[in-house]
Amino acid sequence: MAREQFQNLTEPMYYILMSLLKERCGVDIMESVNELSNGRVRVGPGTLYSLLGKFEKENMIRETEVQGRKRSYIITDKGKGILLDEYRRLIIMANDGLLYLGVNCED
Amino acid sequence: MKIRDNKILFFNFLPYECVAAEEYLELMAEEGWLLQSIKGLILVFKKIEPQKIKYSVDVLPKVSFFDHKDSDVALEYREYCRAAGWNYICQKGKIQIFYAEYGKETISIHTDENEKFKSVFKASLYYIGSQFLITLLFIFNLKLQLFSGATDLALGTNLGILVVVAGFSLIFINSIEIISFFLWVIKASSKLKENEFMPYNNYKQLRIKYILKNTYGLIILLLLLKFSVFDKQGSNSSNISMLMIMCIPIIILIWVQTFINKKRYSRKINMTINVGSTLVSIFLVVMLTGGLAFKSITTIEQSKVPTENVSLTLMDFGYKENAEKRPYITIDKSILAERIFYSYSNGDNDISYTILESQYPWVIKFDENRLLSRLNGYGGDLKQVDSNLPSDIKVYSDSKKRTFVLISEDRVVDIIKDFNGISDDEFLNKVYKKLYN
Repeated sequence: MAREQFQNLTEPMYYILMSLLKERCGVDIMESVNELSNGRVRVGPGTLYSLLGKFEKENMIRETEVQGRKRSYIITDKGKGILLDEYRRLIIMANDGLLYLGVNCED
Repeated sequence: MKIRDNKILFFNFLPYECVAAEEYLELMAEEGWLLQSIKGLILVFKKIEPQKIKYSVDVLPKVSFFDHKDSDVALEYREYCRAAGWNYICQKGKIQIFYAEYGKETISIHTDENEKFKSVFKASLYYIGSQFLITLLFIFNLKLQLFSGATDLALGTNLGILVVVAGFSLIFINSIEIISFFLWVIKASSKLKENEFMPYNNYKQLRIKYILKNTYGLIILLLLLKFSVFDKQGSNSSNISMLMIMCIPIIILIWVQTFINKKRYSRKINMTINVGSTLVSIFLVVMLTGGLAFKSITTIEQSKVPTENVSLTLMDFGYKENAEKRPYITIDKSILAERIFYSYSNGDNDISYTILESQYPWVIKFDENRLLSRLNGYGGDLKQVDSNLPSDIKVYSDSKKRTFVLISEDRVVDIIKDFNGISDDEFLNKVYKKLYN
């Protein structure tokens, strides 16, 4: 079910999961996504909150620590698998682009 | 209403009208009023320098109606929003309201339109669901009033007519709101599929909708007050008491919400308090209404309408009046019909009747149909019988010849008698002589 729902990750999903390779709380995730994407992707708190809920429900991330109201999360093996699948899909797409469009990132 | 540096206004919106609410709040800020708090439909603003302010009216579906306003879920969420540059103002159910100074760098609370749509849809569904339940309740109530109970009360009193009109209006308005919500859902989902901007109601639409709705509601409320308190003969005090009883659930609800917000118990405890207080409200309303009804019944003897106001009494059939007992008489007049109810027992014999008189044939036809169907539904088995009355008066009677229904062009007379010393023809002749001449 989770594989189907998250077969193609959206950009915010991709970066949130990537930022959770390290244990982080919600506020840190927002900053981390901004850094990892060089300011290209920004995740709003509402979007982040609802995505964290979904990821947790699908066991793609798990809660690690609760300090007061601050909850921290980390990616699970299942989440890593989905993230890697997405990474491979993007690589294939980029390589196909390189092959058939004859362009690369430097162009 | 202005109190020193505060302004109190009424404004209501559903989660899917969040953009319209943002527009409204931003306009208020430009006029120098910053939102401070919301309690139900009441918005409190405080005076500021007129300026441009960005608002975000957001929904948090995870918050339950049973949570107090500063639940852990809400507090955690507000932390996220604070980090994104938003200042929290207040909560209204599942709605969280934030603001930011104009020009300050903020991250939109929702950066994914699909996720926003799901949140708004889920949160709106609770409100629309409760509207749907209220609509069903009113449909059931109207069915009881018009198709199961006695229709003469609904037709013969202005209050009865108004309650029916108000019921129909509420069903109509709620149905339009429910339909427009689902039309919005269809429109928004199709726009999202095409990766286009998801449409929300704007403030202009919302304003027109609420001006019309509130004006209409206010007129109905004022008329209800007028008819229920000042328009009924001889029972003003019981009507005022009834209105006061109806205020009890509202007072309990406000008190419980304030208590819950102050005490900050868990969701389960809040749920128990809410359910408990609802049961207490229902119990109090039922008990007090029952007490009031009992008081009305026991004071029947003191009916204030004089016997001279009715043309037909038990004494017309040769029975003696019991000096210790007085008849119960009510006379009501509405814009559609006039209703007279008489009931008297001298201890041995009794008679009660209702006359509904109207110049509108459809009113008579409707009352006739409902009355016969109701009496037959109770096992009355009423059949049309031959009589020596003029041919334009139809007479129906049950097999025991205890219930008689007389229908003519402009009136429906429903009589229940409990005496035997008179033939049916004599009885009907007397009724005709007294009521039709």
